[in-house]
Amino acid sequence: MATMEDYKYLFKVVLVGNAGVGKTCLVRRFTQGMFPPGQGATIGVDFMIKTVEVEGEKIKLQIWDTAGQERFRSITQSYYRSAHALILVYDVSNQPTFDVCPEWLREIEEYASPKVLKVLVGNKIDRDDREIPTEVGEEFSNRHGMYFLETSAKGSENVERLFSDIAHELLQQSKNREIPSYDANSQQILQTGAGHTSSLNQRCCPRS
Amino acid sequence: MQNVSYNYYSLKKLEIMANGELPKEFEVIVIGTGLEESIVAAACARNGHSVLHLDSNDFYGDQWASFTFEGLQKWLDGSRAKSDEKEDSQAEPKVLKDLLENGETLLPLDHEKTVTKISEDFHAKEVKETLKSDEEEEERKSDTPVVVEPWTKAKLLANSRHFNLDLTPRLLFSKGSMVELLISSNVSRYTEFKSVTRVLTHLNGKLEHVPSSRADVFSTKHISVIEKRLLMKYLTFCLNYQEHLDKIEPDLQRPYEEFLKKEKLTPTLIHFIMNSIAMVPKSVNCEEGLKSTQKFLASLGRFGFTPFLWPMYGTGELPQAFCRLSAVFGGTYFLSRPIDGIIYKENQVQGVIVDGQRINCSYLVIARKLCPQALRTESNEKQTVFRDIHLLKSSILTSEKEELSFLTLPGSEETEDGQSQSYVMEVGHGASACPRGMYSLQVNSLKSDTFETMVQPLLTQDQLIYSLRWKRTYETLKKTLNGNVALCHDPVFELDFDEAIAHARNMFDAIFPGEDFLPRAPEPEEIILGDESITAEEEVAHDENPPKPEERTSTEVKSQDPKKSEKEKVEDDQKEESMLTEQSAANENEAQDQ
Repeated sequence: MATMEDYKYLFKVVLVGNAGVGKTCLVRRFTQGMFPPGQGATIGVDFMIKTVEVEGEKIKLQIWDTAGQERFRSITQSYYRSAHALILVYDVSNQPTFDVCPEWLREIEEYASPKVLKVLVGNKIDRDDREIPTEVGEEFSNRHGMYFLETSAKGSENVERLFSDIAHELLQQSKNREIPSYDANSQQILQTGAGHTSSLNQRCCPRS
Repeated sequence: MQNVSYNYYSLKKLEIMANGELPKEFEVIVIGTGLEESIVAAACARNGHSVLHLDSNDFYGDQWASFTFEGLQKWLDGSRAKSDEKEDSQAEPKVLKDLLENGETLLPLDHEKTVTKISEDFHAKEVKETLKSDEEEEERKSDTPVVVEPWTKAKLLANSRHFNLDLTPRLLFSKGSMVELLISSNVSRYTEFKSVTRVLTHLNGKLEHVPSSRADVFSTKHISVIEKRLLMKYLTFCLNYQEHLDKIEPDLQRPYEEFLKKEKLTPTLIHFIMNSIAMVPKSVNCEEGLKSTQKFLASLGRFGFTPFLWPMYGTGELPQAFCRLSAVFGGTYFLSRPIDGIIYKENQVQGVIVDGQRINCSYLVIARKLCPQALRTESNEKQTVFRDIHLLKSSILTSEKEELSFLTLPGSEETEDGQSQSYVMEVGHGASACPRGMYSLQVNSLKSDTFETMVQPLLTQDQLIYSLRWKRTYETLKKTLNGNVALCHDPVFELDFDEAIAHARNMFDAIFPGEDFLPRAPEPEEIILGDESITAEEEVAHDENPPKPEERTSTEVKSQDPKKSEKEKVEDDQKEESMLTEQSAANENEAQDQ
């Protein structure tokens, strides 16, 4: 049970972005160390969990995928609630998936906590038909106060780094008491303490 | 059987991936994302049935939605404009006709106007409010701007996203049907709750705190020591009243109030019990009264000091939580698309045309008010709910800390119907209902004059920032399935979700008889895919239903990793049980600590 597990911090990381940009592949690459070609297998899987160690602390990352609701732009706003970090993914070889990022940001700003750690990820850098140069993605992320990284879920480039950087950043925020540190002994669900709030309490600084 | 349809759907999902288009056929099409619709969609998808869930709105929840301030304004604009003959279809009629086969007719959706009498007031006056020093301190920590200017419409809109205002505010009994369903289905993982911190009642022209828990009874200053003892004794008796049936048998059919008098309870205690604990009208008989009292008591002490929970971010989260479960199990979601009509032939719905595309189905689940007249079989009396939302600068009963309050207002003496009470909830920033320092007062009533007679006297003009009032009608439904069409209610008047869940369950049972209703979804924590070192020891568990990961991956046509197989083991069924006991133990600890 979650209550008995050996970790000190639990963070919720949420992925968004157009269908087909490789969100599920990033999660699978990170949590299972493999590159999944088909996605029928995501049925019944709500979120993936991986425990990482940062500065000697065990950190459990709960990584949520869109469950296909992004396909017709029908993501529930409750999906964004209580996220500590939000990864907006586009495909560097597919211009429209990048062009739609401002729309995703609007949705994030409407429903996610204003202090959520926002990360822009250009995926599929293994492909040779790149359409979005690194500088363009970087510029966009700077403009919107986002952390930026380019990855390849297929070649696994930067995938570990993406999540360990997020864990690192969230740990720092948590240690600075900027965000509530989740008590490993309390239930995530039906958590009802009168003082419990799940939103973050301070804007994080974008890293580059 | 379930596995077959499950794999069938996995293939369907791949088809969507490939074409970026909807499949041409689903087992179940659900129109409307209200709570009942969403529960049915989740139950069907959970068991492997293919589900297409549609809503022509661009938000989830329909009459169950919770809105930001801007969202509320948009909803009001839509509700004011909505005429009975609103056309969804944007496609040419000729194009739609070409999609029909021999003998089929296309029935446009109905758009019964259920929301009327909308009145809105912005009370802000041009008076500068002084800034308190502690508020100033809060400013750095808080994302909420400090109140310096009056809350004009512009300012409310500028702070829009700090609001979650409910069209249908509800509380959950801690041991009620919704809490049990959330836990048993694991949909609880998408929801968070706050405990209601106090139960209030209106007594002798004042608001009073109703002592409900043991601790409350002992700490309250409003009743005497003798009353405390009487109340404790009576509540203890109610907890197990069935054990004393022989003694109370003769009284069971007599009025509850008389029984309370016979038990020597004082008028104040009788008021507390009738109005706030049992929440029953004067006319109720002893049996019903005891049952209702027991329901309240049974929910005490599970999660907090009152029996009630409030959904964080509003009731609107609940339909979304069920939709998320449905999506996780393969349900396809398609919002803000025009629904051109329902294809009908020989007493059966064949499918729907959505966004100019024909999609066939075996079953249609649809909100009653959207259902074409031709497919409605019953006509029941219309009920009316009167709703108010008031935004307040301070609580109706100020307290040192922010409270989440529940107030039951009794029905007026002359109404003898079963449900004449009004339910009032006051929620603040802690439940994400509104900006820091503000309170949202939610009134639900069956009577048109509740605001004037009962609520207004509790408020001062200075306190009010914004008031919204409207009237909503609904019909109660008895039939669950007619042909292959199931009709869903708009929210009926109730405090918890008992009727909505019961109706959703009946619809599901009628569509897929004999199938489990929302069996527990596997815990993501059971699928631990951590470091190699951990994976080697941890065993990945899964549920009997849905099928095993192997079966799932078998549909991945281009799988490049044939070795992919997860270690798995069927978990003890005890797991859920242990979670519950741990949970309640944790809560008991929490309660003791405080």
